[in-house]
Amino acid sequence: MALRIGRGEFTARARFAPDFARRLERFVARLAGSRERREGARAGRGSGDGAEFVGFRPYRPGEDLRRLDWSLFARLDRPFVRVTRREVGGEWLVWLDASASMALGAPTKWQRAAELAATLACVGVRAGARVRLECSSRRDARFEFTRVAELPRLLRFLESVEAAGSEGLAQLVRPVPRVSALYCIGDGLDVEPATLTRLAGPARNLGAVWILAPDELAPDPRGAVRWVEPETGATVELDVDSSARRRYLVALEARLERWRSELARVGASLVVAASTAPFEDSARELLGGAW
Amino acid sequence: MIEFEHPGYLWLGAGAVVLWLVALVVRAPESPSGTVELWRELEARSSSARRRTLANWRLWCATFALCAGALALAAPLRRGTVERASWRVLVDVSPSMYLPWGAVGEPRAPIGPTRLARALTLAAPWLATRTAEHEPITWVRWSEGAFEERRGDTFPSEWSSAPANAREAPPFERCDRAGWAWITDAPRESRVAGVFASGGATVPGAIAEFGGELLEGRGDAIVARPRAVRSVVVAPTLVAPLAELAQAWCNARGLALGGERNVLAIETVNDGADDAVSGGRAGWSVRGRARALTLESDERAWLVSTDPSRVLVAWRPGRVRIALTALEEPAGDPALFAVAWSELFDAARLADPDVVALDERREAGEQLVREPRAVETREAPVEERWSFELGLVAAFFALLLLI
Repeated sequence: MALRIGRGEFTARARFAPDFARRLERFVARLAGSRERREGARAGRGSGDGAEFVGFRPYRPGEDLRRLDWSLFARLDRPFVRVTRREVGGEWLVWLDASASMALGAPTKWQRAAELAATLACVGVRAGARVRLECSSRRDARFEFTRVAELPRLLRFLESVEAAGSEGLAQLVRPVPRVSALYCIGDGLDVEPATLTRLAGPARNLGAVWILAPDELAPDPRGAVRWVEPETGATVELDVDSSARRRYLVALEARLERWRSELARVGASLVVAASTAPFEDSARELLGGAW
Repeated sequence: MIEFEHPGYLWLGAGAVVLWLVALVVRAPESPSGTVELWRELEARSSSARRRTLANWRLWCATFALCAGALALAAPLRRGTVERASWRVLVDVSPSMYLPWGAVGEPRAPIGPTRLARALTLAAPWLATRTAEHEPITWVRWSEGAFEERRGDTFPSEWSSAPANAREAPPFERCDRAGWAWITDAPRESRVAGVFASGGATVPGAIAEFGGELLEGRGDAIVARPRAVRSVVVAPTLVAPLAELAQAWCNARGLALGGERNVLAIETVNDGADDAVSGGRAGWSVRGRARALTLESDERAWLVSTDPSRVLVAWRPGRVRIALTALEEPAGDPALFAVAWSELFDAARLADPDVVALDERREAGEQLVREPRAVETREAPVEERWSFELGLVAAFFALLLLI
């Protein structure tokens, strides 16, 4: 539940239900089983430690030449390196928008974001990756997750972070060269698609999850409304009738479609979820095809 | 002009004002949103989302509903042009009205206030009602063949004293009309005019002057007694023919030239240069020279020059002013010339205030009060309610829109 402290000041913290860890474990196991069934024998050949071959990617200057696939180089006259599951796992990075607008909704957008971040962390670790979580609200709001056994500590960390203030995802964006998977969770309002697509790479999974409150996804016609921007306290006063609602939905869909097309261009995906939807749905949509 | 059957309901219209004030003061409910930027874009494209401004159609509808409802409940009336009753009060200023009033049958001679005052007292309640109703009153008296009027709620004070010269009774029959009331002494018959007649007993006193004597009516008898000599003042600069004529007239009327009890002053104009003039009246004309004579407000011209246009002789009761400085032998009939001047002097001389004709002194009868009938105005009593149904229908549809 969002707590309004003063004019334009909204804050929220995540609270994980007692059965969340069990739900999460069950979801991750189900997701892994699904992947194994999909990948079949190939997955079975591997030792499960992440060293199995999963594909090729273009050679990048400075890389260890021992990883170059010489036979492919001879055939194609272009350098490619072999990519292993361990490398795919490598390092995952999850950016969390912890600005005040994430404190909206019931349950709050921040609640869903925290649940989804915990899910990604568990999935990443199960894939052999080291998962780093970074929240926009504070510079020191970071957590490195390497073992499933650290889940209670991860949850406590997420519960300690307060969604507040004006710092959003833009605060976190920077080049992240060694990251094999980058996931951005927020409401997508303070960054442009190009900001994220610049971070895409051939061996990097890139995904974004925009969590919106029901009132943001489909506002009810209700007459005069003063919309308040949680980050700045700025207001816009409008008469929200059915016509204004329709035009708002068109504008929102246009914006989301722009995100989808821009991310799809670099092989990334966008998931738009309501804060009221279970975290499993968003995670499945985000990871189902890529992992 | 619109009048309302229940004007108190118009205060409901103030509700519209309150509504607007509330709309201006009370802000819309706040709702936080992470997509304010999108709303801001919609606001910028005003065609896509109406700003919550004064143009809010619900506010307009509510305003219209309130006004229409208030109008309907107040029930507007349309009256015809309201014309308040107006009254004309004819005041009899004949000499008898200025005689003292006394009740008929009283053995002693009347010594009270005048018959005029008595008649006004009788009319006072009716006049007070008219004043309270803001009905305009015009006072009318008959003066030398014409009606003279004064507007006002109160009786003209300058009419309270007897005129310098006796005046005849007004033509009552011409004033027997709705909206007219008569202030008189005799209880006259009227068809529709109101009558406030003082009545009054016979008032003994001088009824005529004859030579050097006064004739007095005392009951059925008339007795003669000497009267004080009265005089005429003639300006020494009066041209000779006219001075001789004035002298002859004084002799004929038993008046002395010069003295204290003047009944007439014959004056001349002594300022300014004189010019050649010519003028005349019926049967005679004169040529001569005259100075400029400016008429005073209460004077009337008696003889004028046509070339140049100039007043040669003017008069008012008690005074004759003559601008002629030289006079040639009058042309035409000399007798008519003399008679005309004699009539001028007769008209201008002041009558003896004590002399009142016998008919005027006779008993006026009992007092009479008969209120007049008002003129029927074009006022329509009440009245056609209009816009009531229209107002209700408008209010109903406006409320439907609001719902």
